[in-house]
Amino acid sequence: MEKPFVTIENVSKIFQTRNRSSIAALKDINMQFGKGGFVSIVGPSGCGKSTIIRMIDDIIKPTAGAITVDGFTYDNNVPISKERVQKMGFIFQAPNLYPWFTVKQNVMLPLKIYGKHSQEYDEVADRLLDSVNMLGYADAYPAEISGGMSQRIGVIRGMVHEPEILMMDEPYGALDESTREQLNMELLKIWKDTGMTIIFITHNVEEAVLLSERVYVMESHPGRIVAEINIEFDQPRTLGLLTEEKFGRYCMEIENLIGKIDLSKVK
Amino acid sequence: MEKNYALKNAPLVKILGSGIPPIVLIVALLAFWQISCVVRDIPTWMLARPTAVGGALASGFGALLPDILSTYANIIIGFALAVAIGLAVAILISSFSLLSSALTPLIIALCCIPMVTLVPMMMLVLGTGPNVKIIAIIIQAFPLVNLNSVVAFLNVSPERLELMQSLKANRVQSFLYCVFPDGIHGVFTGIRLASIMAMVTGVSSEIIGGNAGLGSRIIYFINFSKTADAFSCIIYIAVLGIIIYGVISIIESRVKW
Ligand SMILES: Nc1ncnc2c1ncn2[C@@H]1O[C@H](COP(=O)(O)OP(=O)(O)OP(=O)(O)O)[C@@H](O)[C@H]1O
Ligand SMILES: [Mg+2]
Repeated sequence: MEKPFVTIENVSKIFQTRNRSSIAALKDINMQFGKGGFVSIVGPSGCGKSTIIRMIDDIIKPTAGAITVDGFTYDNNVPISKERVQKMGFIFQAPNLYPWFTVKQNVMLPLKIYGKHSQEYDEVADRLLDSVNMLGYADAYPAEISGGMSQRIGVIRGMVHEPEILMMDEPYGALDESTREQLNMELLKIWKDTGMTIIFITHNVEEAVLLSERVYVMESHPGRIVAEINIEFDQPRTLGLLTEEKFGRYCMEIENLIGKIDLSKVK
Repeated sequence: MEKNYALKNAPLVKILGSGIPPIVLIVALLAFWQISCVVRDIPTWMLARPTAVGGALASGFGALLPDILSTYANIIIGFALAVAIGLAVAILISSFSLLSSALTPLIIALCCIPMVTLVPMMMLVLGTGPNVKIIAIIIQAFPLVNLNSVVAFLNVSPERLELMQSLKANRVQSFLYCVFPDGIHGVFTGIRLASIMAMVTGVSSEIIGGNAGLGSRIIYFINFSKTADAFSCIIYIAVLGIIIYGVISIIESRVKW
């Protein structure tokens, strides 16, 4: 196996809450992401999926353990530099657009912060807007577009600086099924064209199986990985897979892994 | 059609449009005042009639102009500096927590001491010229801008700030793109309150000492029982208050979030 691009080693995260108790959000997490791969993380709400990628993006620090990206290791004490962060794109669970900027200004915000002002990047922004059918709304304000539209803008804002690693936190949660499928296919195309490493969070098992080469299945209390499943389908993937028997088997397998533990909790 | 709609939403038109009911009310109150004075035969040295005040406004304007300009200038300069200083200190305080713990108690104390009580002492040192009045206005008004802005900046939405952290934006970028626009309404609340403080402090320090400005004129006119002229001074002060309020409203109406 080739050397992984992103490695998470024995990472734990304990949150201190306001009433001075502590939550063990993640315990002894080990993960590897190969360069150019597409890996999903699925698991029940609150199992720590968002926490994992927020630590990779250095928004929050792990309590223990270390993360290595492209040969550079960072942890509780060592931060990651702005240069290295530029290689990452982070797509929030909520669109998180700034209401004081237009749609296009929101999309261009990472470029502004990284000091990339050229005409070329302006075209990148327009192309991305077009790819999610939002070019016509470039000068609208976030208050003037729908929730699903905002979500699409949040997604392309995370890719506009052409990162090598893209972390997506349930990016299409608020979209209807068909728009979601359409955008997922668009995502696969972008993935193929750019060779990005994608870490995709979802609680939609079918979505995970359809898109990814590998799926991490998580459980909560404390957040941990319970299985790692390779999804062996040929590339490029198409929506035709949804009807294949093998597809159904993968979904069943993962749902059982999540469901088993849920059942025991009911008792 | 569309143009008409845009016009209706223009801040100035809105302010004028919403101005009709209060104007009717003011006219009714003036009429009541006038009629009471006439019916009860109240002498002018005790309470001037609105018509007499109107006459004083017309005939006294030329003579009062230097005082009007002096009061307006002091208040506008003091208020503008208070806003600038209040904001600048707020930016410092919200970025460096050590500064915050050092300065905040002092600023709260300044806010609580009525400057009029200090002005006589300041005049002993600095004389009765405009400087003392401007300084008094700044000291009294800037804490309001400051405290409200600091609260607004520290209460920045955590999700919005997280985007800046995720992009590793530097302090300046994060302030300009996120913290400041997110807290702008708190800043305006402070500016509004500060404008009231600036008016009160400006006029009351004129009443306390010196012989320039509308405040000192009011005292002079009352000493000579010229109540109509005293009222005309009050109206000039009110006009400045309305102008400042209007300007702040027009600026804030451009903030659409
Ligand atoms: N800032 C925080 N302070 C305290 N606890 C936190 C904080 N952020 C997350 N947690 C806790 O950590 C756990 C994992 O949260 P996380 O947001 O990673 O879950 P998730 O898997 O993304 O869930 P969802 O699918 O609902 O988004 C939760 O129990 C949550 O209460
Ligand atoms: Mg989450």
